[in-house]
Amino acid sequence: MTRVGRWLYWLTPMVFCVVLYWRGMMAWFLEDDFAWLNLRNHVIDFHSFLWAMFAPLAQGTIRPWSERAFFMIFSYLFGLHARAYHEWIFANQLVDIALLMIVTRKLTQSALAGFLAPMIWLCSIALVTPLVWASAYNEVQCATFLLLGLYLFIRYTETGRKSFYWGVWGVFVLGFGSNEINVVFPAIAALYAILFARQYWRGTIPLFLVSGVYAVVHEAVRVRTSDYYYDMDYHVPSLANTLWQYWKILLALPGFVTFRHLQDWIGVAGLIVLSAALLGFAIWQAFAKRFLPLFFLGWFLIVLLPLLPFHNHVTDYYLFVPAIGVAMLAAYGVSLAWKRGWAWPLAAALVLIYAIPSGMQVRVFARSVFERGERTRHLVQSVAYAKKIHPGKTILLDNVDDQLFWSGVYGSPFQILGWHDVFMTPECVTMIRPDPHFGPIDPYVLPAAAVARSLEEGTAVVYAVEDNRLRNVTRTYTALVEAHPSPPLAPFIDVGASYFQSQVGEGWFGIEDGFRWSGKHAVVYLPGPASPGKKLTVHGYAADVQTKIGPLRFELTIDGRPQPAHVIDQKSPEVHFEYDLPADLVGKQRIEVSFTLDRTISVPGDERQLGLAFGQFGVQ
Amino acid sequence: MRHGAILSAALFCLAAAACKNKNPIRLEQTIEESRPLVSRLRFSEQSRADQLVSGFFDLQAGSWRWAAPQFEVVLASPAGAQSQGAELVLDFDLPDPTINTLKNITITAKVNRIPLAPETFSTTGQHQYRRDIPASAILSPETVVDFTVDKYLEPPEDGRRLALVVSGVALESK
Repeated sequence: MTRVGRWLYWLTPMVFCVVLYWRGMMAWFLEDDFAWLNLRNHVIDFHSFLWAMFAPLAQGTIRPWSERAFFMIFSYLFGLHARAYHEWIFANQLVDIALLMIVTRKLTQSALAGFLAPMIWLCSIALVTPLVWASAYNEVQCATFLLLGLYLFIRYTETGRKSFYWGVWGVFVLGFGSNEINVVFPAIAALYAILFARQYWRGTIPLFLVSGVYAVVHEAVRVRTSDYYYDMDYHVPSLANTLWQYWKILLALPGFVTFRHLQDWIGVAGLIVLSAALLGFAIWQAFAKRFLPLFFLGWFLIVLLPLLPFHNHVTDYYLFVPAIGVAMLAAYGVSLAWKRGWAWPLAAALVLIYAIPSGMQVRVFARSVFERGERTRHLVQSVAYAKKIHPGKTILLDNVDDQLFWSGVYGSPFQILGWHDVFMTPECVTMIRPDPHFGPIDPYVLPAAAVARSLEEGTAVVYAVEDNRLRNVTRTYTALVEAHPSPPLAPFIDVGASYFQSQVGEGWFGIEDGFRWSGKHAVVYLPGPASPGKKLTVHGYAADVQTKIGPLRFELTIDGRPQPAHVIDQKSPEVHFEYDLPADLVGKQRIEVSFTLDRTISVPGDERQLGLAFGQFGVQ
Repeated sequence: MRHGAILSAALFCLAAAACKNKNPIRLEQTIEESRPLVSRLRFSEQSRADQLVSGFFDLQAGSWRWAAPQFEVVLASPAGAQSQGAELVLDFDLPDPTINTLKNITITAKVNRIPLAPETFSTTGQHQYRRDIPASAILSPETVVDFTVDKYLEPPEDGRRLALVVSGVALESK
């Protein structure tokens, strides 16, 4: 191969990646990205830094390199300028492509297979999300660790040099910081050793031990939540069904047929043909005692295995790393067919049956994720402008639809910039489909009573989402609010926010930086519950000096009815109480909630007799 | 070699720190309210979309919009309206498909939640819905007007409910 030929050989798959996924490079943030971007704001000292880096978060995952450090470093350097994040992700993906080419060439001894493997992999719909959505970067990084680890292990078995073995160890251990899927690496290495270098399989045993320890520790420290999407089902029928769904996603045709409204039989036929070709090739080779295709299939199954119990969360991008195995298998098949001469048109046709519809889906899917990010970008950047020209004012967003809410509001992007007073108008609620598994949308909406109050005070501006711009409609919206009857009391109030002032009764001091001190006795007003079975929630804090001198007694009445008393001590200075609401209060327009403490404190230089710092009261 | 690595690492850190963006986010200009509300909305004139509260679809041919069965506008109350009342005027068009399909439509309006008399239209072409508004309905310098149309078209695979082709709405002094 000439020098130019070599360059073309190595660069073509990389250029193909950039051409196919260029929107990813331009994409903005959405959904979970904002939680990770906000992580840096929680770091105030070394202890909180350790928490941010290593505490189990987001379904109990611990991914310090690919999520925590990635987002904290990049958000420190680049803020909400997404291009830098995506350039890094693409750079890492180009490394993955190079590693895949090297590993495939080494395993197959075929330059053609080395070239085709990344090309086939890149056509997979599994790559869209990780290359367009920064939160899924962990998949890209995880592939690097697994491919590099395998390459080093192969080199170790080829040369017997311990330096490669220690290299495997280094990559393997570091890989845990990328994605917990790294736990399967020993199985990949062991499969390789058993099939091709049997004398080295013992070297994988310590790796298994580390994976075992990691699995035990991870299971012990992870936060257990009853999350519908991450429910795990280990029954064989469920696992098989999930595997089947992933196989259909991977081979693309069934999804393509649905997407294009084509006849179902086309998808079924394509699925049968491609499955028969891939599995038939592996079986045929295995009978001939050539086990490389089995190893490639093994990669697919081994990496996918830990994800199969998540039966409610079958997600295309979970195939990012498993798809590498099938891409290598297909590339190897084509390279063998090429060698045989007569079979290569058939192999090429099979690849095209997969690559063309899958590639088309990639383009469409990448565009759709990109456009969701664009809508989010316009919203957040426009709010930033509104905050700049209306300093100190609450921003109310009107006309936020379902897609924009879940992409750009639910993740609380405004809190990253320290804005806790950006809400949606109550009218938006009807435009959003709530997901019971993601909690209520109430915290994102300013209740009608508070909207009316803040508009009356002139402390809020209202912006309507119009295509990709925000239009100030404060005057119009105010006229509408004024033309309608007084809204009902807000069922959830924050006494530290001025727009709930009308529901704050006697016994309170002024607002201080988002909270308010009570006196010995204080009152708030809430609406009665909309239906029976609702609870009254109370959230506040006791100061250290308050509980240091002994427990504090908290007695609350709901519309004059005494409730069980609570004791607040140093162990639990955060007040978080719940009370059953009497059924006869259902539908009542206003109920009085009052509480009394058995003592107050005073601090030097302040004449006030202080009770507790609040806080929220809500009917939920 | 070792010194080279340390120097490279230090240079990388310096370069990264130098890259630190001073502005955490790019700003995107919003469309601000610059002019007072008007009492006459002509869709052919300069955009006053901020006064169209709900129920209108995109501007067509720079002069009209499809309206949904319920639509709402905010208009400036004309001078003297709070003492003498005013007149509500809705300019709209009923295209052939609307009348061919629905035979007739009835429009009702509410001004600041006070209902006005309905009117039924059964011919194609341009029409005007015109009603007197009592002074007692004009409460402030801004007046909210709700319109309701009893029938509408639902073109297949369109998703919209199309009631009227509206070209303007106004509050006129008496």
